[in-house]
Amino acid sequence: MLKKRYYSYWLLSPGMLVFFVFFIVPSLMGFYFAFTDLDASFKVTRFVGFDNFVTLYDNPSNLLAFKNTFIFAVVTTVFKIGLGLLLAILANQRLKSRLLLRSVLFFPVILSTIAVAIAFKAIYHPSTGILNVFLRAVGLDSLAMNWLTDPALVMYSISFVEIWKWTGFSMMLFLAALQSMPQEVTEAAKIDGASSWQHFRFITLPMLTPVMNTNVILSVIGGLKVFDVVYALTGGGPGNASNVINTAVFKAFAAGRNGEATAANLVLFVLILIAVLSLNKVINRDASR
Amino acid sequence: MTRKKTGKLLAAATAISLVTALTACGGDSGNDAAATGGSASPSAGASSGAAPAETVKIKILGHSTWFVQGMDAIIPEAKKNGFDLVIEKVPEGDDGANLMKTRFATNDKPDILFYQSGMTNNFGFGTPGDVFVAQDDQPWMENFDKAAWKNMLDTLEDGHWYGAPYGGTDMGVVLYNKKLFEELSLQIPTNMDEFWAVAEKIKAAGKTPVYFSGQDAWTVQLPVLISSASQQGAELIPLMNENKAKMTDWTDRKVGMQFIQDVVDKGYANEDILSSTYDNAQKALASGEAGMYHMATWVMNEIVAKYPEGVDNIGSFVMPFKGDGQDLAAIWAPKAMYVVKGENQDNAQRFVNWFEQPAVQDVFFANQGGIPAIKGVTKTSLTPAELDAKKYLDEGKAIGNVPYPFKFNANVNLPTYSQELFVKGGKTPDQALEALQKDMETDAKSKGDPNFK
Repeated sequence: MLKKRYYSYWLLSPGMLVFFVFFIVPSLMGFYFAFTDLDASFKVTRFVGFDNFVTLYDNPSNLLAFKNTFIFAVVTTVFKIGLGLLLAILANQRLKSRLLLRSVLFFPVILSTIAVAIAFKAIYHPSTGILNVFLRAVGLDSLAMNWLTDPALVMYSISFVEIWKWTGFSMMLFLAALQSMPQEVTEAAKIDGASSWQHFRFITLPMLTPVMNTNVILSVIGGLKVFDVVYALTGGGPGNASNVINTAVFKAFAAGRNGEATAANLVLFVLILIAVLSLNKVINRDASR
Repeated sequence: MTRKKTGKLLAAATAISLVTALTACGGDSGNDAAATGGSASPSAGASSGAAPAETVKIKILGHSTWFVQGMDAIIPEAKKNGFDLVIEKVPEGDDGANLMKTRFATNDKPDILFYQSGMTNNFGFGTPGDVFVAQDDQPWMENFDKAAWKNMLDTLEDGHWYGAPYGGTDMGVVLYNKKLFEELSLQIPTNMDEFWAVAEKIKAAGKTPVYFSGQDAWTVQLPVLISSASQQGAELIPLMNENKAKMTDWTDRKVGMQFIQDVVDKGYANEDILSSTYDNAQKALASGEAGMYHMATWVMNEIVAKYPEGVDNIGSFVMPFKGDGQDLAAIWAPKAMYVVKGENQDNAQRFVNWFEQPAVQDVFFANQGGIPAIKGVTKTSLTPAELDAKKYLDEGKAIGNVPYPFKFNANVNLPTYSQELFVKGGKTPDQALEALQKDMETDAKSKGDPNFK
């Protein structure tokens, strides 16, 4: 006779305890600190209501940080998903070099972000960087830009580094899905006379939807939480031109305004929550059609 | 077959790497055991040869460029006297400072923090009295002139002295390439008209008149700090602390900001300012590619280490913003060592007391530039640029770069705002001053100061 439950729920308690102590409690404390004047020594002297949020809103560099974070998340998601899909289709072809191709395309993912940032800092250097040197050498002087020091360009230059580094990861997820597609469907489509485009549009793409959803959500969360690549490339500069939410949080902590920093963190948490819930809703609605 | 061989080779290489790594990891265990207790005597001389019975490990945290020739000479002497210094170096500027503050915020503290002097609540390490050991009655204070360094080395909030001086006094000046000046028959400018004339001649000779190392944001605030070093600042800051004056009233500070923009507008600055580093500036100045660089004399320690061939070619003068001999050199208090409260504080304090002895300071300053803050030091090795700057100090023509302590975080974003003076569509000097005022008000309000409600 089968038992309904093999193990007692009590066996969950060690894991739940760790989760509660190291995740739930700090998160709730963070929410509380966002409404206090928590200082550099982590002392709270008073409850300040929404003052920290007003300060965040009042500071133009914080507003720029929110705008930059949004630009970064959107640009990197669009390109990581688009290029990742194209590369996955390419790497899924029966080419002799497909194993090498997959390794090469995935290679940037395993590199340290700091190492990548240092390399790109050199590549982007306006006078000695290989990018501008190349552009000038082929007569495209007008395209040689101040990639990391022009406030209008800097976020896109940083986004390119992120795209270069993480497209391989997106490609791998798509590739795994492509390889697990049942051959019968493809064969049936061929027998029915579907063109390559029709096969891609009406068979491949719909079957990739679950992976696409995962990819989009991971990329949006990663984009909104960005810190390392921005900090390593520009430190949020020049001035505050490439500040993102997490560099602003870092600077607020460094200035001893811990209450303001936790408030910014809370705003980021809420933004991510809204983004993920909205995306899930849209994705589920499309999937149920 | 070949694949098998390659596999075996890879496996062997991996095994060797792992063994090597594990051996390296295990190397500290002996030191850990020896870290308890210790017999180093604070009165032991710098050259005491006999090794003490036990060695105590002292964990030190500071900016990487602060540990150069002087500390290199001290480390073996400290070892002889029973102090095994484990120095963790972090990058310069805000990046490194933020790392250090994060370490303190997460309670991952060293035994001694090497940081700017005049520690206050605003530095971001917590309330000084809670975190650091007060040095007021320590034996090394006998050789220290408290009156001279009041308002610069003590703490504004409680009046205690937490930092013990480390390294020499530094002065914010214009460092210039003497060889280039001689070749072009240039004289040290005594007013701004002469300064621009000098810059024009250097430019005409195909060199960079004024070098800005804009990628390292902290360096571009130097012209502003130099112009801020005036009696006007000393009078305004106490009023600003009580919200009776504004940052925008500080016209001397605006002069430095305007200067930065004028240099760029007149075409006297280097190309690619925002991609140029502190190191690029040192190289350019030492080689004569750049004529002038606004910096403090601490840069000479690095030039001595990296570009020694250029050291004798570098001199310094006070930036003639006002002219007619009215300008003052901006002085910096020496850097400081803060003994962190904790299990190893007694050992850390014994090291500080040992280090501040004149005999040990002789070892330090015989190997590194800087004007000592400890009395009785007889051996120094000042570079020509530091000797030039020292004359202004000796003549009383110097004042603190922040002439009176700020009660609130007023300068934390000065490097960023100074950098924004270069950026296309960035800030004007007036906007930068307003932003600094706003930062100060935000900090004062967050601390609940009644004057800023």
